[in-house]
This record gives sequence, C-alpha cells and structure tokens, in this order.
Amino acid sequence: MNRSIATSNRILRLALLSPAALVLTLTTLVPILYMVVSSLYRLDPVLFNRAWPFVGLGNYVDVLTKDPMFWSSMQKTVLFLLYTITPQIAVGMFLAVLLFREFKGKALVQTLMLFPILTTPVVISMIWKYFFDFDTGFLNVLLIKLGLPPQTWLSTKGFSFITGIPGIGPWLASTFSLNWAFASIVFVNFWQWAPFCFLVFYAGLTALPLEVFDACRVDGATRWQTFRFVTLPLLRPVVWIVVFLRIIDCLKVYAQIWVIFGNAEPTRIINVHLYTIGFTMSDYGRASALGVITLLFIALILVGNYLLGGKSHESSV
Amino acid sequence: MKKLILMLMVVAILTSAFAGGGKETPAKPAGPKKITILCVTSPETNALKAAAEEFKKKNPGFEITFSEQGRMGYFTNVTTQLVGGTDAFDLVQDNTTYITELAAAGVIDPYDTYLFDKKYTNLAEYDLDDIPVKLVYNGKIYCIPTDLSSQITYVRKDLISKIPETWDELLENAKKFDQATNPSSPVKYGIMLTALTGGPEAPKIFYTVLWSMGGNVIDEKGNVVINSPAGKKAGEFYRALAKYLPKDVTTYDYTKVFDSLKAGLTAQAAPFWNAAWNNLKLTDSAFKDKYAIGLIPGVRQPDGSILRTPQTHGWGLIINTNSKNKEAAWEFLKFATSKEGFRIRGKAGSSVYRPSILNDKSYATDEYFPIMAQTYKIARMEPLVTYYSKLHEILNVMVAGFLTTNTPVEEILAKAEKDILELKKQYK
Amino acid sequence: MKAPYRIMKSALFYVFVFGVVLFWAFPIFWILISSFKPDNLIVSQDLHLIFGPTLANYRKIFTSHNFFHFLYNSAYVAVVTTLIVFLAGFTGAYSLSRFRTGGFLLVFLIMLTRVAPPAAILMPYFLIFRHLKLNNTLTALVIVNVAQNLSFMLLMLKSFIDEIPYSIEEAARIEGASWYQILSLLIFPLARSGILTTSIFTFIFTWNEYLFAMVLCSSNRVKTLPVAAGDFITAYAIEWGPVFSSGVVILLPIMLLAFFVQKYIVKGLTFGAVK
Repeated sequence: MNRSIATSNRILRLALLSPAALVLTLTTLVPILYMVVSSLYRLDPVLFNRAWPFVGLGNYVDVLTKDPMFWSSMQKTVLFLLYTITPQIAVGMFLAVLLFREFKGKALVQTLMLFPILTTPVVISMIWKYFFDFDTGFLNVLLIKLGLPPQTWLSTKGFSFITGIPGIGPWLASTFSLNWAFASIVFVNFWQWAPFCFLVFYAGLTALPLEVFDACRVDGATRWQTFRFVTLPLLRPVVWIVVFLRIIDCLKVYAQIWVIFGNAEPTRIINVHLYTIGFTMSDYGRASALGVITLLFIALILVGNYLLGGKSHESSV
Repeated sequence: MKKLILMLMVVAILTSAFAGGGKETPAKPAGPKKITILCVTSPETNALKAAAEEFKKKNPGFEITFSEQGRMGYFTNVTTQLVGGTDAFDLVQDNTTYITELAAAGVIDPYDTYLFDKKYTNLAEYDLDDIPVKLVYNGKIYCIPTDLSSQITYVRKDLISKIPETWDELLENAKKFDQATNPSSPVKYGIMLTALTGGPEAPKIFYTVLWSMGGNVIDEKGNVVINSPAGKKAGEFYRALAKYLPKDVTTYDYTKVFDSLKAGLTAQAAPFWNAAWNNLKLTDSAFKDKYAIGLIPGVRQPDGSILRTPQTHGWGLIINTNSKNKEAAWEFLKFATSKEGFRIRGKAGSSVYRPSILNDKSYATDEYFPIMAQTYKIARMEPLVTYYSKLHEILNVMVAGFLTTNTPVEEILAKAEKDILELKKQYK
Repeated sequence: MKAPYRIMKSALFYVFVFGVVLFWAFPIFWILISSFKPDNLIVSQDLHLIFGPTLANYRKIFTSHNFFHFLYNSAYVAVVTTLIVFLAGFTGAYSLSRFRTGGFLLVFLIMLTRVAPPAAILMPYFLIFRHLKLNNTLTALVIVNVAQNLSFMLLMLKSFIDEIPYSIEEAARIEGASWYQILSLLIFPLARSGILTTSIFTFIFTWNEYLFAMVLCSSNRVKTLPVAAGDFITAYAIEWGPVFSSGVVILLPIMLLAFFVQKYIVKGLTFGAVK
C-alpha cells in the first residue's frame, strides 16, 4: 500500500471508530474510574456531601477480612454458576440436537421457546415466586389436588436426602448450598436461559457443513458416536462463547433474586451482596471496593476463557 | 433520494434524543404554587392524596403531583436521590427509621424554620403537644409522622376466646392450632409473623419481644447490651416459636402474612402490624369478620401487671433541602399533619395517632381505636442512629439465625454483639 | 414390523416436544390467563381454571396508571438506544475488523465495559447525570443503555464483518468507490442479518431493563414499563392482577417483534462464532 492510502487509512479508521470509542469512554470508563476512586474513601450518605475521608486500601481490607458474608457470597456465586450453567448447556445442547430435524410445528416450537428470554426478568421472578409459594402457589395447589404432599420450595431447609446422610449430611448441605431456596434460584435462572442456549446451539448446528455428517452416516457411525466425535468438537467455539456469556450474565443477576428472597443470606450471590452493602447499608465506599474486586474477578474469567478457548476463540472475539 | 430521507430521519431522531426526551424545565419561582411529592404506592399515600384533594379545594390553583413508586427499591431510591442532590421532589415520604441518617447527611431540612415562625404556622391551632412522637435530631424536628405503625395481636375469634396476654400464652395457642403438630386443628398455622430476612420488619418485631423481657440492643448510654439474659430469653422464645411457624417464614413479608389472614390460614398473627386491620376490612376476604384484635402480649411482672412494649415507627414527609418550593411544600405539609388533616386521612385509611382524635368518641367508632390509643401511649421507637441501616442488617442476620438454624442462641447473640461493637467503632 | 415401531418412536418424539414446550411456555401462558382473572381468584387455594374473565386489570393499568405514557417512554428509549448503538457499532466494528485497531487489548477493554457490576456503577451514573442536569430524563437512560449494549454490537458485528472477504471491497475500491459507498452499499447488506439480530437484542435488553430505569427515571413523566410493573408491589401487598396484565403488555410488543424477525434471531446468534 502506498503512503497516501496508508495515512488516509489511519485517519479513516480512527474516524470510524471514534463515535463508538467516545461513547464507550464517556459512558463506561468514567463511571468505572469513579468507582475505583471512591473505593479509596469511606463514603456514606452522611459523609457524601462533605470532605471524603481517605482510607486508602482500608475498604478492601474490610471486604476481604472483616466481612464474612463476602467469602460466603463468593462461594455461593461459584456454586450458583456451576449449578445453573451446566444444566443450561447440557439441556440446551440436548434439545438442539434432538430437535434438529423436520417436524410439524417446528416454527411454533422455536417461537414459544423464545418467551422466557423475551420476558422481563422481574416479571419472570414474580411468576415463579407465585408458583413456588407454599400455601397458595400454583405448584403446591396442583400437588395437593393430585394427592401429593406440598413441597417447601422457597424454604432454606436442606434437602432431606442430603441432610439425612449420617455424619456429614448437614455439612454437605451447607457447604454446597443444597437447600430448596438455592435450588429455586438455580432453577429460575435455568428456566429462563436454557432456551437461549438451545437456540444458539441450534443456530450453530445449522452452520455446520452437511458433508461431514453424510460421511459419518456412510461410515456407519451411530448417532452417539457422530455427536461425540464430530458434532461436539465442531461446536466447541460456540459452547465456549455461550458459557462465557452466561457466566458474565449470572454475575450480574440481582432483580430476579431480590424479588423472591430479598437479600436473605442463603441466596446472596455477589451482586446481591454488593447491592446490599451499597444501597441497603448505604456504605458507598465499601460497595465500590467490592465492585472493583468483582470486576477483577470477572477480568480473570475473561482471560481464563480466552486461554482455555484457544485459537478458535480469537476470531469470534 | 431514499438514502437522503433515511439520513434526515436518523439525524432528526438523534437531535431529538439530545434536545428532548422529557428534559426538566427549570422551576418557576413565582406564579401558581406547585409541589411534587415522592411516595410509595400504599394505603398511606392514598390517604395523603385524599388530604391533598381537600387542600386543593381550599387553595385553588395549588398543584400537587404525587410521584408514586413501588416498594421494591423505594428506600434505596429515596436515599440515592436525596444524597445525589436532586431537586425533582419537594417532599419525600420516608420511614422514620431512615430519617436520622438523612438529617445527619444534611440533605433534608428541619421543620423548625417554618413550624416556629408565626408567619407560616399558628402553633396554638396546630397543637404540638398533641403529637406524641416527633423525629428530633440535634435538637431540631425533622419529621412529624403522618402515620405511625405499631403492632397488635390478631386472633380468630371463632377459635380463640381470649386474647393471649403473655408470650407463653401465645406459644400455647400456636401449638394448639398448628396443623402439623395437631392434625385436628381447623387452620393450618397457629402463629404467623413477618420475618423476611433483608426486610425492614423482622428486627422491629424482635424489639417488641426483647424490650418486654427487659432487654435492649443499645441502651440510652450507647452501650451494646444485646448479649444479656433478656436477649437470651428473647432468642429462645423465637426459637420455640419457630417450631410452629411456616418452614419458609424468612420469606414472609407483610404481604404474605396479610394474605394468610385473608385466606384464613392462621389462628393468630402476633405481633403484627395494625395497618392490616383496616386493610382487611377493605378486601373481600371470607374471613375478614372472623378476627378480633387486642394489645400485643407481654411479660407478667411480679406485681401482676403485664409489661408490653410495642415497637413503633412510621411514615412521614421530609423536606428536600434542594427543593425550590419549600414554602409551598410547608403549606401542604402543615395541613396534612394538622388535626383536620389527620381526620381526613384517618377516614381514608391512615393510622391516626393524635390522642385528641383517638379519644374523640364521635370519631373513634371501632374497637380498634382504644386499642391503638393505648398502644401508642406505651410504644417505643428503636434507637435512631445514623448507622441504622447497617445495624438493621446485623439484627436481620441474628433473627434469621434464631428462626432457621440450630446454632446455640448464645453464639448468635455473641456474634451480633461483636458485629455491633465493630460497627460502633466506625461511627465514633 | 418396522412401521409400528417407527410410529411409536414418532409419537414419543411429539410427546417429548410437547412436554418441553409445556415446561417453558406454560408459565407465560399462565400469566396471560391470570391477567384476566379478578384479584381474589389469583391468590387462593384453588386453581380456578374456569372463571369469568374480566378486563379490570387492563383497564386499571391504562386508566388509573399511565401505561400508555409508559409505553411511549419505553419505546422511545429502546428505539433511540438501538439506533445509536447501531450507528456507533457498525462504524466502530468496521474499523475494528478491517484495521485491527487497538488489537486484542482494545477488545478486552470493550468486554470489560460490559461486565461492570451494575450496582457499583449506579451511584456514579446518578451523580454524573445530576451534574449534567440530566437526572429524570429519558436521555440519561438512553446513554446508560447504549453503554450496556454497545460492546455487544461492536463484537458481534466485528465477527460478521470478518466473514466478508476483503477481495470484494478491493474490487469495489479499484472501481473508484468511496468509503461511504463501500460501507453502505456493500458491507451493510452483507452483514444485514447480524445487524438485525444484534439490534433486536439491544432493543429487548433495553426494553426490559429495570435497575437503572428505576433509579435514574423515577418520576412519572419518564417512567418505563418494567419500573411501572414494579409499582404494583406496594408497601403492603402485591397487586397480582395488575402485575400480570402489565407483564403481558410489556411482553406483547417484543413478542410481535420477535415473531417477525425470528428466523434472523435463530440464524444470526452465532454467525461469527462458527468458522
């Protein structure tokens, strides 16, 4: 490329990128900077409009050492991610492969599966709160009508088949959050997002070259072998993207849990905890510190995802 | 050509995005009086609106806008807006428990400027002595509540003939009518109360129990006294009660308990908020006439009397320090909290607490009023500290510990004590 | 011998599909039904599958609450946001793709902006808007939503544009096409499905956004639909009837939108991810 094109290229590419860059800087980097700065002071409504007392890393020390809820909410967050994302991916993949054929009403099915994604999360949690209600909820009323015992869907009692294990039962239930309440938030998140995984995987399947599958059929491979050795490896980049997106989203979950459980301890994952500190307890400084820590944590996941995803990830990022 | 039109459309929308979009028009200093009140959707707000209607009849041309919001996130929003210095609202409806912090933050104005100025207020008519509860900080009145809330006992009068007077009696009834323990009970639960973790109500009810047993969280001198024999008794009472409470009681907010009264699921609800009495009457529940009310239970003293200590808190209007219409705001505020204002709001469903009205036989026609008059006489407020929300959080965890875990009561109390001492150190 | 086996397999398949659809569509269906029930039939110990339908809940939200106005507010914010995100995203994505501006670091930063925990940046946003005198305006909400969605658009479109072979552009440039012509006449049509998909998701996320809308736009003049639905969680009760009917009102426009562009959503979701 000769000089003039190169220079005009540089000007052009900066010009093209500038609206986006401007918007992003102003609207995101500035608040993040503010968050980082405010995390170094002790801030609450009383101090806010006066001189801010500088505490350096004091807030961070507080969060990491003096706040027992911090570590338990981190633990719960990790468990939450594990419990809800795994079924979403598995079920999404299963449905995508299973429904990847012609059948009557296929378009209708795909449209109906969109609903959970399209509905406002707040309304979805209100629906499930209503369904899970012990006395007047839909599920228990139905169970009673069928002569079955109603379940305590929203209680914090551990699952009886776990707590019943002699010796380590209760320890297992509490360390791994094996109780009804936690299960219900895992479930609601699963219910809302498994269709998303299904649709994305389905789309991924449509983009796969047909010849490969024809070759498999000719070679006499079973459906399971085809899936395991051909489909799955080909879909690997898609799976990584979905896992990544779901992790990011689950870390931002707040309203869905708040509507049903408030900031009750058993279901307090990291964003709910942040909201509690920042707004229920009005401790702005500490909330900012927690926000920075969360951001670093997420950045770590980003990097980890890139490294694990390997080269196939680069082009899609 | 088509492209040009498309571009023009885009430009038009973009410019309107930056120019329009419901921008704030600057407040007019003179001219017709206009005020905006930020409030939560509730029966209290409806009562306030009724007062506003009457007020507008007496002051034609005066505009009052109610900016209503749902309960979810309301208090957060109030604090954020006030601390952020908005001038979009002149008066804000808030819970008495949060006002101290706002006053200390300097984002609200005391009533004093207008209350004690003859130009604005006729004190004789207003009668400050008729107000048993005022929110004072640094010697100034920051709020005269529009509604006070306290707790009473609700029982199914067709099942229980005598209102339980002590906590033990309450527990006995709870056991008798718990269907899980006693399958012949006609109702599902023997006792119900609000214990939502993270909500405002759970610690308040605990105070009612704790005080009656002679305990406290922080005494007048500022010492942390939660870890005491009285505290232990209260904790153990809660633990005993937990046997008969619904298994997911820590998700029970006012709404859930209220719904269970509506659906006739429980024999007793105590301590439970007085607002439910009027609200129940307004529903079409099949059980609404089956309840009787009385004072909350207490602890029998050596001389035979019963020590009852209902906790109280309430709603009130506070003045935004950045408001541009403070004088106009005070005119309405004065009216809403005057004797006449109370009467109007009381008829519209608000919890009246001015003794002059509660004792007025022509107004107080229901069994409810003498009970409330007595309740407010003995009612106490929680410690109104600037770190209220953080203290509240510690107490919430403590109550949840009593109700849902098997950790020894002493341990839970010790931890709460430790946390509160930590908290106080920060707020020397 | 084979035929009945195949019929049975097929029947089993349809039963399974029906079950799957029931599991996911039923709660939404229940919202729809319940929105026509009077309040006392919703919270009770019976299912009330047969009942006398009423429009009371809808009447309530449109007359005594300003739902038409809230609909307008939500639509305004969603449309303007989507437009800005598209314009800035399309041009930015082209630059990222063709010139690899900023390399991986920039992309990383862009992703970071998407993942900042909302609760922590809420206060900064509130204060910044207050300084700019933009609090309680729809403009503020547009800005916030653009921030939340721009990164998604940038990255998605970048992978779409990556797919388009550079040779086509080169050929056009040799023929003397200007950059503007290349962008609008060549790239835009080819990346259309990706643009459409991402725009729709931007629209949906903005339409359903709750937290920022609640704090930044609390006055009635600028309230959006999800926040208005939350109003029915009053201080003492949840008015289920209006909650359900507002849920339906919020869902309906999105549903219609999704119905019409459904095949693009399904197709475009991972276009760039699958090489």
